[in-house]
Amino acid sequence: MSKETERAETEREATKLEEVEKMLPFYVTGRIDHADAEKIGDYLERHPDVAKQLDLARAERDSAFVANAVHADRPVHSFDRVAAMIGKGAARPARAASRGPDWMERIKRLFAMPSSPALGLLGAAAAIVIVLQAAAIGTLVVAHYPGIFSGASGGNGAVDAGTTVVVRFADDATTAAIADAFSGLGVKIIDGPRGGRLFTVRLGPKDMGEGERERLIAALKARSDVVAFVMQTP
Amino acid sequence: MDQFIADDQLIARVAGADSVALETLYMRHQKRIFGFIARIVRDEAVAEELTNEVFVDVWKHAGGYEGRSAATTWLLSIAHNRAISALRKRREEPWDDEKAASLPDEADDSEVAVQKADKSRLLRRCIDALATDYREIIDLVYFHELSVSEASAVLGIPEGTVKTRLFNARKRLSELLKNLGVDRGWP
Repeated sequence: MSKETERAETEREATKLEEVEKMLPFYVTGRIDHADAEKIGDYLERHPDVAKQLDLARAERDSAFVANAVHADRPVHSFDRVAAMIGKGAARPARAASRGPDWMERIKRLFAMPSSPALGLLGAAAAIVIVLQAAAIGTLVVAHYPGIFSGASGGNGAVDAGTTVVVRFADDATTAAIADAFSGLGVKIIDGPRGGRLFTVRLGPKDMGEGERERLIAALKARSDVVAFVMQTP
Repeated sequence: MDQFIADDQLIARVAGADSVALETLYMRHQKRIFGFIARIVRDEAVAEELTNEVFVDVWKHAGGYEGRSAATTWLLSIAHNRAISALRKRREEPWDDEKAASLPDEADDSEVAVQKADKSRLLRRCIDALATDYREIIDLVYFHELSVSEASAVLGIPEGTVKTRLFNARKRLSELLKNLGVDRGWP
């Protein structure tokens, strides 16, 4: 190989590396089309040193989640101010009809979406299994795992939430595993998913003891197959 | 099964001056929009008001929504414009000003040694210290989980610029961490 060819090859490799590095965050979140994901997957297989950067991107993603989660448990505000700004009174009846179920609908859609980031970054074979499973979950989750969800909330966190935490589920958590963990601990999802796939989980009544709250949080964190992180809310 | 109305259908109704549809959109998206704006303007009261203004914009401009991007992307785009416009008016935080200068630079005292034990906390701190445009792209991609094309639509910049901005933001994170005694080994 001539020096010129060698130099051209080195430049091509450097360009390819930068292209891959620029797409790693999207590869980690799963927001990348299938063909590009395959190309990057192939590249990472051939370059294990670059594959180590996936851990950096995952750490960035998790930190961004926590930094943003601060706002996730903000109480829902009334529409009245906006209604005044547009010169309309807030009309209630139709909203009640369409608002009530939307959180469950969002959950089902999240799990049913073939391209859902909830599927994370998985090998092709595993992804197919999870997609099939996720589609089934989308149809069956509410009917088959009612214990995961609290019907009291109405989906917008407007009802007495009690003592809550904000949770993001592990990328490969299955609904069965979530149901197993949650029913064992007696905790329930009362709202979500919000931005960043965050869910609000009710641990118990507002006046529950600190010791019990700490125990439940520790138990949730211990289920790393289910929960990616848990954040206490004020 | 209860009734569920998709976002794009709601926007179409808003275009027809249906305030109930706007209220439904508001209840559905206000937390996300508020959080996104609050991270940019760093002031919850301002973010609250800007969030309301976003939905007033939706009321005014719903007729222009063509459904080429997801409703969430469209809402985030309005929120981005509102937040950046507010920042520029306020002039308290210049567009390219980085708060990194406020991060301690010492490398070897005992406090830093303790901090090393909690890299994720440090990483969070560095994300918060990034310049607004870097922090915003990190949030949009990692938290709001937008694709390249969606982030491009929200920010109104070419897709190539989205990738480069995120790449540079990540490199800047590495620099900030290094200043705090954490070498990520990249770039």
